Amino acid sequence: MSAAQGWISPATGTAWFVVVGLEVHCQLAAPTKLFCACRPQFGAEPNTRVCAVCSAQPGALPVASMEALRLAVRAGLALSCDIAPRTRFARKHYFYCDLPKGYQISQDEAPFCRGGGLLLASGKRVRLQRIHLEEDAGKAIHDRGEDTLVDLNRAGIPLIESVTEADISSADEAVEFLEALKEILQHAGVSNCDMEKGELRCDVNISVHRAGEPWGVKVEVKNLNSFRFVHAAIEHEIARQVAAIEGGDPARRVVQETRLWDPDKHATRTMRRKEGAADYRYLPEPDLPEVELDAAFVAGERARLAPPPAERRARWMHEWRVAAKDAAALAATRRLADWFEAVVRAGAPGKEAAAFVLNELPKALAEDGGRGAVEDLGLALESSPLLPRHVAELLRLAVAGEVSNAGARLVLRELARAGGDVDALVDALGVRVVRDTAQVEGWCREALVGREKIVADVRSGKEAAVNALLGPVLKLAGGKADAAFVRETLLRLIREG
Amino acid sequence: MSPTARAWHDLDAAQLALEHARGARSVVATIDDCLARIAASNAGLNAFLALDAERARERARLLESTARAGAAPGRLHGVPIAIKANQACRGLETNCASRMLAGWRAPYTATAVERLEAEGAIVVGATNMDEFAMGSTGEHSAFGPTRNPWSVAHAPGGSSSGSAAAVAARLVPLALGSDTGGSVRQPAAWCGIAGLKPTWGRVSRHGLVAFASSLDCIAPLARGVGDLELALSIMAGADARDASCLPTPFAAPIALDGLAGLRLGVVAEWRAALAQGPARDLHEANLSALRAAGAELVEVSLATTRHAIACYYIVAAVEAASNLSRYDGARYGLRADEGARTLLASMSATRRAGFGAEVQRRIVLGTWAHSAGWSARWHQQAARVRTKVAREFAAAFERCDLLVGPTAPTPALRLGAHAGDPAAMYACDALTTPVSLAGLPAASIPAGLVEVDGARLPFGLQLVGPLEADMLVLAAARVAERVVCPEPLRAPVEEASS
Amino acid sequence: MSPAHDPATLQALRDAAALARLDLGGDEAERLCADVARILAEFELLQQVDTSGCEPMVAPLEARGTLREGGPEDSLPRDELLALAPRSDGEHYVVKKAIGGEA
Ligand SMILES: [Mg+2]
Ligand SMILES: [Zn+2]
Repeated sequence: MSAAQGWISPATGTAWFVVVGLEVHCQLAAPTKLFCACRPQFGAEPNTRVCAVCSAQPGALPVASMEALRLAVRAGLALSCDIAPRTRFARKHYFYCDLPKGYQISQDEAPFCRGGGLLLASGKRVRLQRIHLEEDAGKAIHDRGEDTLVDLNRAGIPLIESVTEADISSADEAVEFLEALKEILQHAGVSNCDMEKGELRCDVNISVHRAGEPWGVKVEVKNLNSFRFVHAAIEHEIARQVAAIEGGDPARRVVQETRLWDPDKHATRTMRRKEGAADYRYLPEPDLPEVELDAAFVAGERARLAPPPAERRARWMHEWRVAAKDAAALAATRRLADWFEAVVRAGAPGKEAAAFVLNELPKALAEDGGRGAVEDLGLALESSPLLPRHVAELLRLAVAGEVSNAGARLVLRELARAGGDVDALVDALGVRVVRDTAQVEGWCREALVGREKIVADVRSGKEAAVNALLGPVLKLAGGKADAAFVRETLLRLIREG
Repeated sequence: MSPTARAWHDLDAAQLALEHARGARSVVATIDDCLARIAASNAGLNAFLALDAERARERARLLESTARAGAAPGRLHGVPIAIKANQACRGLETNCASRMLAGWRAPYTATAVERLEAEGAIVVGATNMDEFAMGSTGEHSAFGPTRNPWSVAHAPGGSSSGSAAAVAARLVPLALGSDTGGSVRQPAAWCGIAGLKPTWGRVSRHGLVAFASSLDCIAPLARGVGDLELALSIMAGADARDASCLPTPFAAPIALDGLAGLRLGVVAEWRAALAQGPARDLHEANLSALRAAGAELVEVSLATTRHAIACYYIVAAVEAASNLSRYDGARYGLRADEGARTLLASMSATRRAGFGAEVQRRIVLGTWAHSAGWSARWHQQAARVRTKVAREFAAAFERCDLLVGPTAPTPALRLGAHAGDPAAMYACDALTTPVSLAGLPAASIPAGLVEVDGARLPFGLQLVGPLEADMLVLAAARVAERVVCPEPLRAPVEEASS
Repeated sequence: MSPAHDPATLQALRDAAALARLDLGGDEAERLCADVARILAEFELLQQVDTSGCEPMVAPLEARGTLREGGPEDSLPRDELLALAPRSDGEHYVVKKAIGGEA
């Protein structure tokens, strides 16, 4: 489906235009909650990350976290928003068991940033209306018996809510926007956006209309916690709304309401009609004075901001021939991207460096010898004695054939453990590739003993059969042999027979 | 150790601390006697809602032993103090005189209380009040009205009724109240003692159960201004747990020899609020005495005075409705949801059962005045009038250093005088609410006695300063208290109880 | 019409009571709303004040720049927190069944 041509009704063949706006909540990667010093931790025992402030004990007051504010400003800068010189919190009132104060501290008329936006691949710009800071609610658990259970570990965790203009015209565009937003926020270190942990949640506003007609009635679908659901909910709503309008049944007409996505039924359902719409009674928060974001602070954050990840990825692919998949993985966090670029700046070839960083470093850094997660790689590298110039040097030796892959792995492990000098380690670990033909021939002869079938196969023209011998020879060589040279030697010996 | 001739309860807090520190008097003995006096008089006054005798004695022993071990004594060494039941003190019941919070013991201590304790003060108990600080007579307590030590048929004023009554009855030399629209100044006036409402934000509100956040102040009550000054200099100052607390360094006390050179603005509208009669005569005589003592009296006008009550009650009710949303029966306090099957029904039943009528009235008023469709005409308008009030004060301070007037339009009212007529009760706050709206510092000092319907009752004088001029207010009040009331007032109930 | 007798105001007050979760109905609730309506009648004067040029005040003083620096601190022990609650299961607060969204 192309957004420009609209959505074609299967019943009538009419082209419908789709108008979508998003409200995206992202959890900030801050060390504390927004208004107290509790340390959030996903999966912690219920109600163990709760204090007098976030459980709304009488007399306890909120004090806003500097670090949360810093991350929020960084998000605004990364999305080219205008940062307000002064910003204020406001109370948003409603009663629910997961909202301890009976109001959420959010922002109303004075969000910390307005404007901004980002570009889709098509060149279309999706504008942001605003981004504001607010606290998360706790968790209500309904599926354990008669009562509802409440866990306040999440209550007070800092979120930014990004509100787009209604610039999105299809489910595909919505998901493309979200992917891009996620990448930017992760890259800027603002949020981990881990959707499994509920760190990114999305509300969608959707309406449909025919060409030349005013926009239709807007329906909100709340609390979508995966991009797949966002896509499905939009597609479903378009079909539902078009069918309702074309059907003309007044009982099924589209009304302004809030709906929820039911993944089991693969459909949206009514949560709250407009008549029952909440009156949030926003009140400027008297407990929290206006926050002045002075120009020097904002300029400092701007200076620390990395180039946009999409730009960096494009440059790596274009200039250094890095594979697209590798570029995406390396751009996942700013730390990793910076580290990778440092390796290249230290003289390593980009394409090889990308593959090496992604394939070898997680293993080298994993303490139990297992395979570490690429997601945490940037953070792990920052505290490791392994430096970008080590990797560049090692790659140079590997490309020159002076160390084998197996040898390079041994050196990496040692560097990750204690750092050191690459050249010296290659010798100390005895992994410098042996060029001595006699020695390599010796290992090959030893491996050929009792392998008459392979010898026969090679002689009859099946050259690939020799590959089965590479492993045994390299093992005998203890990482000191070069695979290509070994292969060459094996073939020669077999043919010379 | 030889006790001085005077009983501990005849000393002010500063003197008592000095005698304890010098070893001239035993802290343990003072605390024991203090608890005994409270036990003897509380049935009549109903000033205390919760006592913590064990904790108080424990602290007394600890203070004595650390002092023997050479620790430097604090400025309130061994002084028994009372705190209002809306101030958190770990271990003590902080019920705000509400069924909603009956039994609630704060899991932390208010900054102001912590700072007083760090100077050696000993909290003996929590005092009665109008529920959640909403009321001007002390009658709106879920645990019965407080009585005025000058006449048990009269109200002590409110909402800091118990703290004022306890100080007036010499049960403690120093107590904390809270002043949102006059809740410390007006009971101070009605009980014949001194009370200070600091500049909003001067004292951390951390641990003060919120009523109307943009107006609430923790405020001390004592028999004389000297102790107010001492308490304020201990409590004031930035607090990492209250973002609205003033970060500016706190000014040192100011010493004034007399009132010469001081321009006192006499607010025409406040003066006119007094009806013909003994209170008005007393007030006029006091103004003359201040002039005679060297003050230059300047007539000023605050035309918004007549709107202050409406403005204050709307603003305060809106914030109260917001602040009291947290009482839903889930995490602390009362849950009264017998038969309720849903969360909604449980919350509603609990809030109807837990809050008294005055609190419910203000929650409804505040919710309504801030609801969609009504907010612009009511809450927004009130918040604009508030700006106008503050501007008027600022203009008045162009012409004078401090403002002076009566603290309240009348001396203490009889208990039940305004039962069933909330608007009439609100009129008690006509002269204190304007000051609160502007956030200004103000002291009420005892200004003599008047004879009203057969009772001799105290009357108060209010001194108001510009924002942050707390120390000037206190310095002038210190001189003024000697001018208008040279003999300290002594409540008669005390003789009956001791 | 004075707010004390205006049916629209009275209805709005009843709605506000419901919004504030004080909505059990009955005579008492009626009396409460009537009280508030009478108070409002007294406050009607406020509408006459000329407030042109006056921004709504949020607080008398703006203490700027008071933000929390520094890292995490210990939360409260769960036992202490839940001991204050009317009902808990030792791990959670326990409340009456919450059906869907807001209560
Ligand atoms: Mg939000
Ligand atoms: Zn907390």
